[in-house]
Amino acid sequence: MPKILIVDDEPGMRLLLEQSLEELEEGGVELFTSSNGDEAVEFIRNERPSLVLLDVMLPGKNGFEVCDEVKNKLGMKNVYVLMLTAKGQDFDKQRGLNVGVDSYMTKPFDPDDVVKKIVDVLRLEI
Amino acid sequence: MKKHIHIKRGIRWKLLSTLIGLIVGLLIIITVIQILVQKKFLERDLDNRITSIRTNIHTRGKTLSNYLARLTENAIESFKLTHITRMIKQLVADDEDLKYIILSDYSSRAYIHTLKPELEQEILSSDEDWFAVNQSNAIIHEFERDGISFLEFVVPINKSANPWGVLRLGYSLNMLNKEIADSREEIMFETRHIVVWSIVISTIFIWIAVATIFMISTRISSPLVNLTKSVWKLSDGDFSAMDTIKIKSSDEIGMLGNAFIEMSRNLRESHRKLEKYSRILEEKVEDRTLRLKVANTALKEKDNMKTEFLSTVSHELRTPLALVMGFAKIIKKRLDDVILPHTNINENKVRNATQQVKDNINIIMLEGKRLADLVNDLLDISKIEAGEVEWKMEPIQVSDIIDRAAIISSNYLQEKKIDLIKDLEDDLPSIIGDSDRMIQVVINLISNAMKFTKKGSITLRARNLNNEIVISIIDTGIGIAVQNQKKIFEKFKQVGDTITDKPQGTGLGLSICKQIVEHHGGRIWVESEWGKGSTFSFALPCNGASNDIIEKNEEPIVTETGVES
Ligand SMILES: Nc1ncnc2c1ncn2[C@@H]1O[C@H](COP(=O)(O)OP(=O)(O)O)[C@@H](O)[C@H]1O
Ligand SMILES: [Mg+2]
Repeated sequence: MPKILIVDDEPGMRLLLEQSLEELEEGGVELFTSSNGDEAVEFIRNERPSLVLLDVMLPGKNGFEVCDEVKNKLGMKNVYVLMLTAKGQDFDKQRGLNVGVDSYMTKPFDPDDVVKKIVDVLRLEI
Repeated sequence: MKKHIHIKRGIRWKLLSTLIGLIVGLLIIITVIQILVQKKFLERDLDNRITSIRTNIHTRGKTLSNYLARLTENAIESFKLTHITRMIKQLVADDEDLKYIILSDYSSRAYIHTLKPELEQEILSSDEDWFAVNQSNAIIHEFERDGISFLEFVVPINKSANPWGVLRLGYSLNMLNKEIADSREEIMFETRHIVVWSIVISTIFIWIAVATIFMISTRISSPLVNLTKSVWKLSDGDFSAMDTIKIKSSDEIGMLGNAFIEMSRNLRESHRKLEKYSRILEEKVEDRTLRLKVANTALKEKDNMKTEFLSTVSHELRTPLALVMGFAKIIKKRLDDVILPHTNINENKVRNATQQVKDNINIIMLEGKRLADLVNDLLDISKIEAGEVEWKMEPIQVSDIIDRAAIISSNYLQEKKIDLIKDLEDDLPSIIGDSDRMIQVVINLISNAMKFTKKGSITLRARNLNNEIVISIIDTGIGIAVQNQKKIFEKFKQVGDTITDKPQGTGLGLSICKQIVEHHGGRIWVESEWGKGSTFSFALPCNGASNDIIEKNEEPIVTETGVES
């Protein structure tokens, strides 16, 4: 059962992502949410989700730090990290690459695109 | 900075050397002339004396010899030679010059001989003797024997009117020679004397000259040196020098000094004025600089704040925007997938409301998209204007840019049934630029063309005109009226009837294009006629002539990669 963790401090954003990914639940995907970087790291270590939707600006650890912790300190390389960035600036990309972000999407995004992307990455059949 | 007066060859030196040279030269000439004159004079004097001595000896000799001849003839006549012999011997002893007297007959027998105590046969040896015999007067001849010059008088002696023999008187010329030698010595002495005197006199003159010149040159040069020192002081900005100058003379140097004082007075005056002006100026500049600095910092702060503000705002806008758009999409989905299938659209009210909700959702989504584009464009242009964009300048191929822009745009074109035509000149040179930004420009222009063209075609043309690459996007759309062609490149300027025909978009696309093109050293413009389509063009300088040469040199490699690709 693939698990997907949504990390964003905006309740609206969490809700939007949850609703967007609702259809995946029918295919057996479990959705979890978190509003905090430290909590997210804790969850990832214990629950080992297949994919993390990660916001950049977070209380506690920020998105880059969370990714760095997971990919490099915990060595969980097969957790797919999809970063949701509001800036879409060059240095973010570079920083993301450095800490091991797998791909990123800029806000505002089309919910359909997110679904498509996740289906692609997790090779889900819908 | 302290300057030292060091004059290599001053006035003093020059005067001295010239004058000493002149004196020495003159004295040498005078001395030589004097010596020559003196010598000539002395020599003439000597000649005279020699002649007079000779004449004297001659006269004495002649007189004596004639007198003795008469006495001898009488003595021979009377055969009384004793008396005359004694007299002759006495004569020779008394007269220093008279060395000898000899009386001999033709048989060469000497009757009287002062040189020899015993009388002997004395042979008449010389031709002169024989010649003298036949003469009535004395024969005089000179000869030298044992280093002594002699003047000999040979007088014929007759006995009873017949030649009997000769009387010979020998005078020594040593006296004369000694006189000559003495005179020569005297000449030498005299010459030496003159030379010594000349040297003494010239030395005295030289000393006098040195002293005089020293005095004169000190008089001339010391005020000059002082003046020079003052000039240097003046050049160092020390105006006190002019007060220390005291002018004693009214000659040329005095005039110079006066002129100098006058000049430094004027200089001081203008210096003071200048100082005053520059102080005022400085104060002004300082004041302005300060004000400028304040203004500048304020401006910078403002500018920083503006950029910061824009990026923060656009960032903060994105999240709610994402939510609005995302939820709109989900609402639409739920509407289409879940709600509408379960709605009874047969009821008029419900059908109308449903249609309205659908339309409104679409409007929300479209406007959300517009808002997102606006935020993106705003952020983009503010970044370009603030110089925060990192330009990746590199040689790029024009055909590459156009191809990539065309591929990205073609997705939208397919929906609209408009042909996209490419018209690229062969062998276009490369340009230097940021390829992503160049593509952005072309895409922007294509999307505009698409937006304002209902049917027909869009042509992408590239030409090399006078070392400029001109890229044109030509459409067959509505065109732009001449009066609007400049405006549209300004921010937020859109044309058309804003009520009925408000174009979609942000009005920032062309401004961004303009900024990018101008950053590449190019220009952008439009040629259009209302209703007849538009041609948007931008020109970029070719990658420099030197690059052309490099490309030509590397031609084989270029063709190889060309074949490969
Ligand atoms: N190809 C075109 N044909 C006609 N009008 C055009 C064309 N391109 C631009 N315009 C005019 O210039 C205006 C400004 O364009 P632009 O700066 O790209 O903003 P936007 O496309 O967002 O409106 C457009 O609104 C339109 O009125
Ligand atoms: Mg536009």
